[in-house]
This record gives sequence, structure tokens and C-alpha cells, in this order.
Amino acid sequence: MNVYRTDEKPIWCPGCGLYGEIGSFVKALEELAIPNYLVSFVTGIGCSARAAGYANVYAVNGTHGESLPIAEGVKLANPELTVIDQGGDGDIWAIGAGHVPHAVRKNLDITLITCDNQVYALTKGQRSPTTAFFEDEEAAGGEPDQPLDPLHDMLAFMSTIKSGFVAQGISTKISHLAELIKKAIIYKGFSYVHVQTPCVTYNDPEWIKFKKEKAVYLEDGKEIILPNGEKIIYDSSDRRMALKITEVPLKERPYYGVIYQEKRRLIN
Amino acid sequence: MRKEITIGAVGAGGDGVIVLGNILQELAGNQGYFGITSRAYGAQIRGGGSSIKTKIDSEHLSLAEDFLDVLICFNWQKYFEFERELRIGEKTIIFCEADPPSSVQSGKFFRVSFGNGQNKNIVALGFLKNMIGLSDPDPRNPSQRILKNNLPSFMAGEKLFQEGNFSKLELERPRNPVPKITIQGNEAVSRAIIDSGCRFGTGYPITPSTEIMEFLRKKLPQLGGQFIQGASENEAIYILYGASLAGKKVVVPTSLPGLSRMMEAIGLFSATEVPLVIIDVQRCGPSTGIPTKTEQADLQTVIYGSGDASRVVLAPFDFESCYQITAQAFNIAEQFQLPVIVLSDQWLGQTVASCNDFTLIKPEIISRLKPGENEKNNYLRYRLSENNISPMASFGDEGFVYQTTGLTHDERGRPASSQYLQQKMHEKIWKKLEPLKQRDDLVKVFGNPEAEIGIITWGSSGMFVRDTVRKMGMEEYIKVCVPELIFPLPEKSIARFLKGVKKSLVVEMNYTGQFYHFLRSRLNLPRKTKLYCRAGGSPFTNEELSQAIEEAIR
Ligand SMILES: Cc1ncc(C[n+]2csc(CCOP(=O)(O)OP(=O)(O)O)c2C)c(N)n1
Ligand code: SF4
Ligand SMILES: [Mg+2]
Repeated sequence: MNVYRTDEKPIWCPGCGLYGEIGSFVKALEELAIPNYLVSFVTGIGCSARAAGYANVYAVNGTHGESLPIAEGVKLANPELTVIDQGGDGDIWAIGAGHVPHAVRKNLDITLITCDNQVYALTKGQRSPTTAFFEDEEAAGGEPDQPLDPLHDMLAFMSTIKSGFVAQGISTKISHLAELIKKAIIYKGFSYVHVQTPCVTYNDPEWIKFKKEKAVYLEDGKEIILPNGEKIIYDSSDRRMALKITEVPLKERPYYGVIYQEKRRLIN
Repeated sequence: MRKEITIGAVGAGGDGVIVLGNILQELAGNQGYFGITSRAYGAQIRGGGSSIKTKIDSEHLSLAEDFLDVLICFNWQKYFEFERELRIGEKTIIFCEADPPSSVQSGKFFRVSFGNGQNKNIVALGFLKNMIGLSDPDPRNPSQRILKNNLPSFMAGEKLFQEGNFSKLELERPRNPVPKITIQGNEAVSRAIIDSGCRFGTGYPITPSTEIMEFLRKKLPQLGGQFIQGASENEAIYILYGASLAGKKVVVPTSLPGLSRMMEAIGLFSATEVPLVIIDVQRCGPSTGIPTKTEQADLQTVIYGSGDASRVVLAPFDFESCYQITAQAFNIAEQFQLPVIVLSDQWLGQTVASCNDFTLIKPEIISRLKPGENEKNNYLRYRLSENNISPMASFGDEGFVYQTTGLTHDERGRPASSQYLQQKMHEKIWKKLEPLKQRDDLVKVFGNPEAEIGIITWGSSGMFVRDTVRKMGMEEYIKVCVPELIFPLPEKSIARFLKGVKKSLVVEMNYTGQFYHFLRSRLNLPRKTKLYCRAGGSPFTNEELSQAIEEAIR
């Protein structure tokens, strides 16, 4: 048995993307070899938040939307701890969104992970703030509100304090995601990992396939071509370059990797 | 010579009336007098009027009379904003800069010019000092520094009194000339927070609790602690949740609008058994109400809010009680691992009192039970035990890693949804509180224990009721019960108080009689029990309370 896993059997649906997400999280802790009593894992409410019961660290499954300040409180009270906050797209970007700019502003050394399945899964499939908007939906009488883009908004919040770490991964690529989570934990300051987490019950299989197959992987020094044809040699410490990435809507092209990191705070 | 005096002052924003009240009271307090100053502000945020009402007493701490002995009126227009607080009777002596409007029928008037400079409040202070016969201020006393710097104005005031040939209203020497401390309820609460060993606080500004927040902001970092101003009450309370899990004693001051936003969190603290102290300084509601005026309307919210969450509600009734009850709140929160709400109110919080220094006796400090070495590596956070209290490890402790959740959980803290555990965990969080109900020391009883008339009241109303009973000269016939522990209600103790009581009265300042209905749900009140309650907005007067008492006795 893995020291970072409890013996609890997850309640998630078979094939849920959250298995890969917790797998990546545990792998990151293992590779960093942080003693489990020095790790605090705080979650809200939702399918993704149930992960708190499966991680054998000091863990909280709190209330919907309120996990970020709890994580801050733990860190403020005991700075020795590695503190990771995790929530769903509803948890962090709807009901809890008011906490996000203030968490960025405090810039405590904590890591925030959003498990984004573009749906309120636990309550059985309602729209979330990240649910993609397709023009044909409006034609079919769907709600015409535009989704928000957590990566873009997070980068904007971080721009005001000229600091931060932003990455995006997908939970079906465990080793890649584990690397991102590791980097986020190592980063000294507030760090954000956005995880595309397929929900096999409420997501359209085509959409899941798109997020897996159309992805572009970012690496510093590697050339990428943006949808508008612009070629760039990627540099994650360049905020303006990062903005170019986050301006591309998810439904157009998903980018995975470290999108932005402030150099000054990189240890190692 | 007189034992006591009630002085009022009123003016426009720049007249310095509040400063006048504060220094007058400190001056008297330093010389050993007891005193109470309540303030009232006009509705405008800036430029409105302000008033003070100061009671100075040579024998004991007593509340101001309904009718003023003396009024300093800088501005008649502003006076009418505070008519209710500053009542003029036949015997009231009024010193005013302009003749009163004809609507003011009683009182004796003297035209006095306190000068048109910005120091007219200090001139008035010198004037009053001579009138009531206080000794000269002690320039070494730091609180009197403002006088030292404005000595010419102060002396001009003294001279103004002498040369005007006014008659003196001289106070007797204080019976016990030991200097008094001058303190507000909010400060008494703040000091207790520090003296209870709490070093972690959050807040979000809200009248009338803000003084506590500002105190913590300044004091906690000096003591190696932390204060965080949240971006909302939600943030403020959930930061405390994390900090308490990591082992800190935590506190947040607030008032009803903020408290309402914390309700979901109170359920989480309760269900997961995490210590917390909330200081609720009540103000007029509902909704935004009158932020600067007093009321006691939060009782139902804190007793019944958040489902079957166990919690403790305490209510101090005077300044000393603010200090002691706050200290009790931390001890109870730590011992029983739950949220404790202290219900203070605007009157208690922002009224300035000069009294014996009750902060000299430091409270006993109790801290949460931590797991022993024998529990290392087989720790159950919610182990069911005889007294239903399970040791609580702090996040970061080696060998005690656990998971917790607001979902119904098992002994390990893992989610569970059986009816058995749902029942069992309710029993745990409620039965652990049983010993509290035996705390007779948290039910204060005054007056003749044999009296057949009993008044039950709570919070600052307790001070008003006692004061009125004393002024009515009825202490022999009427006894007063003020439970400081409101929830869980120490029923036996109150039943004992009611034994032999033929007629009783419940007094509180809210529209619906919240405490009365709560009492009736818990115990049998005498058949002849009356309720006197009204919405807040101004403190109780002796007149209205004595009427209510007379009606209840009849
Ligand atoms: C205050 C409050 N409002 C509503 C709910 C009901 N609720 C539980 S989870 C959830 C949404 C979950 O969506 P998300 O955060 O995206 O998590 P997911 O289940 O998709 O992982 C809602 C609305 C709640 N538990 N608390
Ligand atoms: S509903 Fe979706 S997110 Fe929730 S467990 Fe099932 S697959 Fe996973
Ligand atoms: Mg979701």
C-alpha cells in the first residue's frame, strides 16, 4: 500500500478522470518524498473534493466553495506544511471564485488545483462556469452565457501582482500531470494547476476525445505555432507569451504544460 | 454634596463632544470615581451631530439617570437628534451658547460662551470640573496629556465657571479613591482574547465590532501572533477553520450581517469538532438596520442556525463580564471542541466605563486535549469515548495523520452514510456538552434569594434591569437572574431561581421576545410571567423598565 493513499475505495464512477488526477497527486508527493504528516490537502464539495478521503495526509473535505481560505489558514498557522487545495470547476470558479483573487494577492506558498470537467458532476450534470459554449446550442435554445477561462483569468490576477505559477494538465496523462504538480509545489508562492478531468458520466465523449487528441504540449525552448499562424519559441517566464496561450479558447486548442512561472521564485 | 451626577453634552461634528465625554470620565476615574459614558451619533456619516451622556458616581458603577442634571448644549439644532437620550427635566441645568427654541419648556438656562475656537470642548471641561468639584488633573498621567497641551483653554473654562457665579453641584469624595480603569466592553473583550492565549484572529470590518478587530490587528503581531483581514466574512471564518485545525486558538469579531454569512461554517466547525470563538457585537437589525445602535436580536440565529449543529452561546451582561465571559468562551471552545458565540451588543461594546480593574485577575487557561504517545499510528480523530471528547491532533503532528469532513463520518473521520453513525455522531457532539449545563457559576443571581418576584433577563439588559430595581428601592422584593450561559441553558440553575417565585418578568431588547420563547421551550415559567421587550434603537430608560416592573407585579 502506498503511504500517501488511504485504504478507502473511491466512490467515483469507473473510468472517471479523477482516478488519474489523484494518481498524479500521489505520484508527485512520492517523488518529492515529503513526509505525509507535513502535507495538508484541503478540498471543497463535489466529486473532485472527495479525494480528501483518499489521500493519507492531513486532509479536509470542507464546504462547497470555501476550501481556499481553509488552505490559507492552515498555511498561515503552520508554514512548515505543504498545503494543496483542490476543487471542482464549480467549487473554485463559481461559488468559490470570490476567494481566488485574494488568494493570489496573499501569495502564500500554497498550490491550488482545479479539476475541471466543465460540469457540476456531483449534482448530476448542470452547467458550470467553464461549460463550453457552442453556437449551435444557442440555436437549440441553450443558455447563451459564455464560459470563463480559468487560465486566462488566473493569469490576469497574477499579472497585477507580477508573480505566480500557472500550468494546465490532463488527468489521463499521469506522469505529465505529476510533473506539473511537483513543479507547482516546489514553486515558492501561490501556484495554480488546472486539470482537464474527464467526467465519463456527463461529458460528451467527443469532447473528452478532443481534449486528449488536439492538445499541444508546451516546453520551454520548443517552437509552437499558434492558431493564428504565429510561431513562438516558448518561454514560460514571459507573461506576454503566456497570455497568447491563454487567449486561445479551450475548445479551439488545449495547451498542456507550464504556461507561466515567475523566475524569481523558482527553487532548484 | 451629592453622590452622583448625570451630565449630557451635544454639538455638531467639530465641537469635540465625544472627546469632552472621554476626558471628563477619565479625569473622574483617575480620582477614583466610577463612571459610564454612552455616546450617540447622528445619522450622517460625517458632519452629523454627536452627543454623550456621562454618569459619575462616588460609590459604585451605576447607569445614567433618564433626566440630565446638567446639559452642555453647543447646538440646539443637533440637540433634537438626541432628545430621547438627553432628556431635560425641571431640575436640569443647561449651559448653552444660544437661547433655546420655545419648544424646550423645562430646565434652567444659562447663556455661556465657551469660545468659538476649536477648543470649546476643553473650555467646557474646565467649566464642568469646577462645577462638580474634581481635583486638578495629574499631568503625569498619559491619558491627560491632551489637557496638558490645552491648559490655557482648560483654565479659561475653570475661570468661566467661577466668574459666572454659578452654583456648584459638588460630588462627594469617592468612597474608595483607587484610580479606576476606563474601558469599553469591546476593549474588555479584546483584552480577554489576549489573556486567554489566543494569538490568531481574522475579521472583516463591521460596526459595532470594529474596535475589537482593530485591537487584534495591532496587538496580535506584537505578541508573535497573526491577524488577517479577510476579503469577506466567509474568508475570515474559513481561514480560522484552517488555523484551528493546525492547532491555533482562533477568534473573529462580527455583527449580524457578517454572522449570517458565517452560518454554514458554524455547521462545519460543529460537525468536525473544531474549536472557534465568534464575538457577535449585536446591533439593530434585521438586515443593515441601524448599525450604530443597540439591540439583542441575534439570539435565535445563533441558537437555532445551522441545523442540529451543537454550539455554545454566552452573553456577558456588564463590562467585567465581557472580560470573564470571553475568557470562558475560549476555554469552553477548547475543552469541548466546538464553536462558541459570545453575544455582546453595541451598548456594552461602545459604552465607556470607569470601574475597578477587573483585568488584574488573569483567567485560567484551558487548551484542547491532544492525543497521547500511545495513540501514535493508531489514532482515531473521532474515537467514541465515555465523555464524548476525543483528543485532537494538530495538522503537522507526526504519527496522527487523519482526514476530516463535514460529511457524516466514522471514528477515523472518513465519510459514512449509515443511519447508525448519523445518530451516533449527533449523540457525540451533543452529549459532550452535558457537563456545561451544571455550570451554576455562569448564572448570575442578584437580590434577596427569598424574593417572590423574579426577573430573568440577559446580556446588557441585565445591567439596566438591576439598575432600575436598585433605583426603585426594590432589591428586597425583587431578585434578578442573568444567565451568562444561554445555550445550552443551565435549566436546573434557573429552575432553582424560580422556586418560590410567584410573579416573574422577562426583559430583553428585541421585537419578538426571543429569549422569552426560548426559556418557555426549556422550562416551566410561573403562570404569572410577563414579557417586556421592544426593538432596539435606544437603551432602556429607568422609566420604561420601572413601568414594566410595576405592571408585572400588579
Ligand atoms: C452551499 C452549497 N450549495 C450547493 C451545494 C450542492 N453542490 C454540491 S457539489 C456542487 C457542484 C459540484 O461541481 P464541481 O465543483 O464542478 O465539482 P464536480 O462534482 O464536478 O467535481 C453543488 C452545487 C452544496 N453542497 N453546498
Ligand atoms: S459523475 Fe463524473 S466526475 Fe463524478 S465520479 Fe462520475 S465520472 Fe467522475
Ligand atoms: Mg465540475
